[in-house]
Amino acid sequence: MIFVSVGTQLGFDRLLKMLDIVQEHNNLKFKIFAQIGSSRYVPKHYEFENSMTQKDFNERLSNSSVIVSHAGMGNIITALSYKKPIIIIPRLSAFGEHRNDHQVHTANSFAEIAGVYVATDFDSLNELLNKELAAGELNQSSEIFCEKLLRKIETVLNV
Amino acid sequence: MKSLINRKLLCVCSQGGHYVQMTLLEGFCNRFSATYAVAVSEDSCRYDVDYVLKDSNLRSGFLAILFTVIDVCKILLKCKPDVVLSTGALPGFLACFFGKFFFGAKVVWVDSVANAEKLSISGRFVKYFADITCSQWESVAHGDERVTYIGRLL
Repeated sequence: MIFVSVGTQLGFDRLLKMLDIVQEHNNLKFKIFAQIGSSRYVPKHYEFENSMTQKDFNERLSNSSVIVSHAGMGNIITALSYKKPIIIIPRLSAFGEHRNDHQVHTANSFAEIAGVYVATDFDSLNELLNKELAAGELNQSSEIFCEKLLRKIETVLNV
Repeated sequence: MKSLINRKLLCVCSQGGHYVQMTLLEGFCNRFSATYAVAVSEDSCRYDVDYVLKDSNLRSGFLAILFTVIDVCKILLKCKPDVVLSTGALPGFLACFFGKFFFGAKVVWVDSVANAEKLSISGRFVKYFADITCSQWESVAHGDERVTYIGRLL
C-alpha cells in the first residue's frame, strides 16, 4: 500500500494527477490511498479521503510500505518515526501550490537523510515507486537537543 | 531540576510540522508543568491538547490575525506561564510576543528544521526579544549572536 498525504492546509493537484498517470503507466498495479486535503482534482485510479483524524492517519501510515507526500516537515518526521520510506515532492509557488518555495529548500536539505527520497516530476516519482526503498529512522538527536535546551533555560531562569 | 516542575510552560505552535517538532521537544517540556496549545485551520484533524486556537498567517488578513491574538491572550490569561515555547508559526510568535511583554514570561523559540537557509519570518522578529532562539541549522545561526545552534530535532 502506498499512502499519499498532501497535508491539511493546501491542495496539491499536480501530485494527485501525477499519481493517476503513474497508475495508468503501470496498468494500475499499485494500491494507493490518498489524503488529499483541499485539492480540487478528483483521483481516478485510487482511493482517497479529504481529511482524516490523527488516529486514522497514523493507522494508514503504519500499514503502508511507502509514503508519498508534499515536502512538509510533519509527514517527513512521522514517516521516519514509523520507519517508513518517504518520497517527497516539493510544492512550487510558480504553480500556486504554496506561498513560497521553502519546500524546495526542505527537499534539498532532507534528500541526504536516509529513508527520504525526492521526486520532482512524473519520471522521478515513477522510478522511485518501482524501486525497493529503504526506510530511515529517527535518531537520538531530539533527546540531546532537549538536554541542551534545558541547560540553557536553567541559566535563563536561574535555577 | 526540582524547581523546573513548578514553573509553568506554555507551548504554542501551528498544526503539521510545527506540532510534530513540538512533540519531539517532549523531553524538554516534561520537566515543566506544561500546557499545550495548537493553532488549527477549520477543517483539519483534531489534536489531543489543552487548547486549540484559530490559525492565521500574514496573508489571512487583519481580522483572522485579530482572532488569533484574542485566542492567544485568553490562553495566556488562564495559563499565566513562566516560559513560552514555540516552534512557529505566527500564532506561536504572537504567544511569545504577548507572553513576553504583557506577562513577563521567558521566551524560547525553536525555529523549524524546514528553515535551512534562513530563519522563518517569525524567527527573524522573535530573536530580538526571545531569551533563547535556536536554529536547527548551524549555517543559519552562524554569525548571529542572537541565534544559537544546539543541534537538530532529527
